[in-house]
Order: sequence, then C-alpha cells, then structure tokens
Amino acid sequence: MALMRCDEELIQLYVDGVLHPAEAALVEAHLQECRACRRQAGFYKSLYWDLGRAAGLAPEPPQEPEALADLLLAEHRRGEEPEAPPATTWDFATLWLRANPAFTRPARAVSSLGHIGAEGLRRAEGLREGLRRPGKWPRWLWRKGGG
Amino acid sequence: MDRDASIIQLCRQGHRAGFARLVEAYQERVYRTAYTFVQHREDAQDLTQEVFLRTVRAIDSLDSSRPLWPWLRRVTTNLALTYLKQRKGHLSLDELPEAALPTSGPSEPSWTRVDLQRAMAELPPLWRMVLTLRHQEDLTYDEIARLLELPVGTVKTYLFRARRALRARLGSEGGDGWR
Ligand SMILES: [Zn+2]
Repeated sequence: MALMRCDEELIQLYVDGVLHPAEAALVEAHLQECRACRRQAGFYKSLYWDLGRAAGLAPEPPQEPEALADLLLAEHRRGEEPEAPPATTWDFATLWLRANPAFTRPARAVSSLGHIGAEGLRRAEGLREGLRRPGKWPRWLWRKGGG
Repeated sequence: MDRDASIIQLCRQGHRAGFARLVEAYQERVYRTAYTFVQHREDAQDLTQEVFLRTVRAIDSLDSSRPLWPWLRRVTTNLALTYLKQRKGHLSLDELPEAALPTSGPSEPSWTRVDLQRAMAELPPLWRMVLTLRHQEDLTYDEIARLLELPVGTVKTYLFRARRALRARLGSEGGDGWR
C-alpha cells in the first residue's frame, strides 16, 4: 500500500523535523517500505549533523583582537566628539537595524524612518559613491567608486 | 547582569574593557560566519571589522536586555548580501554553475569534512547562506525569510536545491556511513 511516492523534498523536510505530524507519519510509512528513501534519509541525517559543525572549518580570524578593540574604542570616541562625522548619515543599513524594534529600545529618534528594509539597503548602496570617508569602509564597498 | 548587558554598558561608558570583551566574545563567531557566507579570507575580515564598527555606532540604541548575537548575525548577513551583490559579476547568487555539477556519480561511501567544506564553497551564495542559517544557526524557515527578505517559498526552494546539490556531490547510494 503505497501511501506516498518517493519525494526527496519531503524526505529532507522530514529529517529536518519541520513536517506536520500527519505528514511525518506518511513519510515514516513510506520509509518502512522504500529502501532508496531510507538511504536518502540516512544521508540527510548525516549531512545536517555535519553542517551544524561546519563553522569549525572556517579559518581563525586573522585580525589581532587587541587591534580591533582599539579601533572600536577610537570609533566610539570619534562618535562622542561634538562635531559628529557624516558617515553614519548615509548608513541606511544600520539606521534600519536601529529602527527595528526587534533589536533596539523603542522610542529612538531614528524610529521615524520606519521599516526602510531592502529599499534602504539599496539606497545605501546607491549612495556609496557619495561617501565622504571611504577609508572607514571595507575595500569592497568603495572599490568600484574609485575611492 | 549577564555578559552581553555588561558589555553594552561598558561600551556605552567608553571603557576600553567593554570593547575588548565585545571582541573577545564575538570576533571569532562573526568572522567565521562572514567567511562561510563569502568564502574569502580578506573580505571576511573587512566585513567583520565593519560589523563591529556599526555595532559601536549603534551601541546607544541597542537593547541591553537582549542578547547581542542576533544583532551581530543580522548585520553580518546584511553586509554579506551587499558584498555578494557587488562581487557577483556574471555569477548568479542563486543558480548552480554548470562546472559545479559532478560529472559522474560519487564513489566514496562517505565524506570528510573537507569534502563538505569544498562542496559548500561551490554552492550559489544564497543557497549557502540559507543552509548555514538553518543548520548552523538553527533559525526557522520564517526567520531566515525575514532575515534575507525573501519569500518563505524561496527559502524552501533554496534549501531543497542546496541539500540536493550536496547529495549529488557527496552522497553515495552504496553506503550509510558518515564521519
Ligand atoms: Zn521512496
């Protein structure tokens, strides 16, 4: 009694634990009688397990922690200066994040920007060439602007 | 007061120890996540630095009762997306290049973690990001969709294709072993 055809996506979702219990029961019944899908399920179980540990394969950060901490302290002090620099004005991505209640305290001045979202990011990208302080940005942000 | 709250407080007050602890707690995690997304050491470092600079600029508005990692992960993801859109050139962010498809079926019954890393690196960047956010960060499909500003259906499609591509690359119908 074939309740379900072989369906790789369902097998993936089943192993991922995101199926509704009724759907999961159908997949389980199918797995009982289908060797090929059992193999697939076994593969995906192994794959997910390994993917969960794949971060360990990325290299160590090359930058000295002390140097980064000093840079951040300097950035903080620069932000405290009475004459605020213009860089953050253009920084829509951060403004959007700051305006997002999931991350920030409510009732900030920037909240009037609302959910700029993707549009804000695109605008921030478009304004890239107008950045006055390219040195503060990663190379890839101003490379094409000729900075 | 938990670690993140005290880090935020110290940073707001301009204590060097706050920035040192922030870096100590999160530099490696941010860098490794950025590297997984962009697969390029130098650019991952630039991204990491920018993530921390933005965090410092936003420090006054961060909610110190919430953990810092979701914020850092979000900034890292947004910056990586911007970076990938800039870098892509003729390469698609969500299609598998022909060259990455295996020419013949896999012969080994299982894979090493280096094989996995290599296969991951060959995935289209958006597939890799979705896969990482699901299996490394344990985000739900809905959370991934919100983070990447994609429809949930697209997230599911990318996940399905990414996993299937890894099976085509690493899987073996002959064995069930894994290490
Ligand atoms: Zn089957």
